Amino acid sequence: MEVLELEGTSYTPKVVFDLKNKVFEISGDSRPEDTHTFYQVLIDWLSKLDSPSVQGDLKFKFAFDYLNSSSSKFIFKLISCLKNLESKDINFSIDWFYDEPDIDMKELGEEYAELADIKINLISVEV
Amino acid sequence: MKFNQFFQYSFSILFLFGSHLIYSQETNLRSEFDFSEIDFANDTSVTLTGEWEFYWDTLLEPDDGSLNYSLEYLPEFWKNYGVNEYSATGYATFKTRVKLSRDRPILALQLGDIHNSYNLFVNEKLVRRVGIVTKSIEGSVPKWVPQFVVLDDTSEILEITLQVSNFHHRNGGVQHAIVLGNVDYLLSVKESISLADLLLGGSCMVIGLFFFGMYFFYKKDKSTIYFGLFCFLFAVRVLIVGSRSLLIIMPWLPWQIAIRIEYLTLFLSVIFFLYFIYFSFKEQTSRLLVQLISFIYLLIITGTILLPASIFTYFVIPNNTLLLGLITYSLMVYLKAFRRKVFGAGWAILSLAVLLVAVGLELAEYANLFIPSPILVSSAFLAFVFTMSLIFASRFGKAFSDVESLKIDAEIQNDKISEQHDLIKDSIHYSKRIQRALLPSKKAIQEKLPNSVIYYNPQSVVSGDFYWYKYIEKSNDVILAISDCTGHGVPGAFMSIVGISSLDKIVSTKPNYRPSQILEQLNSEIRLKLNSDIDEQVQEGMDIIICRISLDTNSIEFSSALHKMVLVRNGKATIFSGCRHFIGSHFKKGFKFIEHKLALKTDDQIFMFSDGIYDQKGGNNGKKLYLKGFEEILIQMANIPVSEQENYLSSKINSWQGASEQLDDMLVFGWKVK
Repeated sequence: MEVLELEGTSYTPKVVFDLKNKVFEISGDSRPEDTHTFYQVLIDWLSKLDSPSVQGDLKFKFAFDYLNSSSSKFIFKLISCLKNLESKDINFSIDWFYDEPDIDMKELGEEYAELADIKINLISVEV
Repeated sequence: MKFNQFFQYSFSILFLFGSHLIYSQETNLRSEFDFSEIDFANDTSVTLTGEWEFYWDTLLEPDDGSLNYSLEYLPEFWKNYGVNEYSATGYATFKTRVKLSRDRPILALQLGDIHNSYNLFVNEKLVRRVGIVTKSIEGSVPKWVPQFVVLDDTSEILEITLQVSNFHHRNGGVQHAIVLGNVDYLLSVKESISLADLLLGGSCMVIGLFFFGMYFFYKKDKSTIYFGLFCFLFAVRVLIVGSRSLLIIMPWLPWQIAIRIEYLTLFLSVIFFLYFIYFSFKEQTSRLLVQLISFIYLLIITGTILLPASIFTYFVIPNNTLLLGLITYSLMVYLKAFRRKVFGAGWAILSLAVLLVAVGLELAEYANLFIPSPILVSSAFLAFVFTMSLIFASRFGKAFSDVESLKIDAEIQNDKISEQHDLIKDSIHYSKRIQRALLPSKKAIQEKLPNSVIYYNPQSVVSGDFYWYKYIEKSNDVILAISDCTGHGVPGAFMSIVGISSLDKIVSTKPNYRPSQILEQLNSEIRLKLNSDIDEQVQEGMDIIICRISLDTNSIEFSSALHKMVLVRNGKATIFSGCRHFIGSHFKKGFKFIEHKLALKTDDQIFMFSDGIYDQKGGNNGKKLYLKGFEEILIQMANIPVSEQENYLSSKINSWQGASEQLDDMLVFGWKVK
C-alpha cells in the first residue's frame, strides 16, 4: 500500500500512514476549512487495510494539539474505522496523547473509547 | 594569429603561400636577401622568408667558414627539409646575408617562435640569446618569447647567423617568419598586435568572469559555468600564445610549464565548448558522443600533464581533427535546435558564422590576399564570443519578460480575486445582520435576568456559536441555551440557524419540557433535518447546554451535550460536565441525558460557554489556555460587578491571545444571583 504522508499546516495535522515501516501517526492542529474532504482521504486509506497485507501489530498514534468541533466528529469516524480492523483479524493498539492540563483532550479520548467500544491508551504529556 | 592558436602547426603549410619570395635572391648558392632598393621609409617591412644556408649538426660562429650546408626554406621546421634527413631534435645554424642601402633609417628585426632556443648574431656580434643553446639535452633551456632586436650596425651587408637547438619539442627550427623593418613601424605593429591580443584576452576574461558570477547565483543552468570557463581559457590562451604577453609579464615562468598551459588551455577549452553545447542544447546533443569525446580528452589532458613536450605536442593532431568535427557537429546541433525553435539557437548559428568570418580573415592573411589589421581580427573573434554570450542573453531576456507577463497576469488575477473577495465579504456581512437578528436581544435577556453578561466573539464575521433564550410566562421560567455548532464562519452559521429554528419549534410546542427532554427532541429534530439517518456521511451537529431557570425559586435545571457549566460560589468554582454525545449523533437505544439540578444562593454566579476561549492558543509558549486557566478567569470575573465583566473578560482574552490568531468562535454567558 502506498504511503500516505501529509505535511502539517496551521490548519491541518501532520499525517503519516506507512504500512511498510509500521508508522501511523496524526499530530498537530486540526481545523481544516473542509473537514470532510480532509478526513475522507484518511478514512479511505484505513478502509483498504486488509489482513493479508498486514503482518504483526499496528500502533496508531494520535497526538492532537488543537481540534475544532467538526474535526472531532471525523476523528470519531476514523476511530470507528479502526474498530472495523478487529473483524479483519488485524492486531492494533491506539495511543491517545494529550497535554497534561488539557482535560478536554483527555476526555475526548475517553469519549471515543466509550462510544466506539475500543481500547484507547491515554498518555499524558507534561507541558 | 588567433586561428593559428587553435590549429597550431597543422596549418603551417599555409606559410608557404605567405612567403615574400620577391625579395629573396640566390647568388652562387649563397643565401642573400637584397633589399638595397628599399628605402624602409615609415611603414615598410619585409620578411626574411626564403632560402637560408642550413648547417645541420653545427653551431657555426659568425666568422667560421664552412661549405657543408644546404639551402633551405625559412620559416619551416627542419624535419621537413629533404626526405626524412633531419630528426626533430638536434641543433643547426642558419645563415644569410641582407643587403641594404647605406642611406637608411634605423631598422629592427622581429623574431617569433624559434624551437626552442637560439643565439642571434648580426655580423660578428651576438645580439640576442634566447634560452640556452646546447649540443645535447643536458643544459639545454628552451624559451619562447618574441624578440625585438634593434639593428645598430650600419654596414651595407648584414650577415645574420642563427644558432638553434631543440631537444624538447616535436619540431625543431624557425616557426615564424623573421621580419625586418623600420624600427618605428615595427614597434607600432608590435604594439597594435599586443593591444589587439590584450583587448581580445581581456574582454574574454571579463565575459568569462561575468558568467562565473551568473553560475554562482543560478547553479541550475550548468551551461553558464562551461561558457565562462571556455571564455576564461580562451583569454588565457590568447595572452599566452599570440604575442606571448603573459610570458613577457612573467618571464620567470619555465618553458615546460608555459607550454603545458598553452596546450592544456587548448584541450580544456575544447572540452568546455563541448559541455557548453551539451548543456545549452541538451535535447539535441548526443550524451554518448559527449561522453566519448570527454574520455578521449581525459586521456589527452592526462598525457599533457605527465608526458614530455616532445610527445604531448603531437596531441594537437587528434585535437585538430576532433575540433573540426566538433564545430561541424555543433552546427548540426544548432540547426536541429533552430528547427525545434529552441530559444537562442539563432544566435548560436550566428556565432558559428562569425567564427567563419574570423577564421576567413586569418586565412586571407596566410594566403596573402590582404593583411587585415590585428584589431579587426581580434574584434572578429571577440564578436564570436559575444554572439555566443547572446545565446544566454536572449534566454535571460525571455525569462525576464516571461516573469513580467506572469506578474501582470498575477495582478489581473489578484484584482479579480479581490473583487470576488469584496463580493463575498459584502454578502457575509449582510448575513451577519440576519444572524444577529435571529439571536435574542441582550435587552430582552436583561429584562428577566438583570445580572447577566454575554460575551459573543465570532472568529470571522458570522458565527457557529449561538445563544437562545425564551421566557415561559406560565411557569415564570427562563429557558436558555448556549451552543457551539460544527464549523465556524458560514457553515457554522447555517448550523446555528438549524439549531435556533429547532429550539423555537420544540419549546413553543412543549413549553414544559425539561432540559434533557429538549435535548432528546433537538437531537431527533436535527438528525431529521440533516437526513443523518439516511446519509452516514453527515457528521454535522452541535455541542449544547440547555438550562431552565426558575425565577421564583432561583433554582436551575440543566442538561448538556458535551458542554460544561461552571458554578462560582464564594470564590470557588465547581464544574459540571455534560454527557459525551453531541447533538446530531446516533444514540444507542435507552440513552438518557444526565440532568443536574441546583439551588442557587445569592451571589452565586453560573457560567456556560463554548470551547473557543479555553482552546485559544496564546500566552508565552503558544499553548492553549485550557479549562484550568479559564476557570481562574471566571473566578476573578465573578468577583467584580456584572456590568464590568464583559470588558474584563475581553481584556483577559486579548492579553492571552496576544498576536496569535483567533482559532474559533467564542461565547460565554454568565448570570449572577441577587
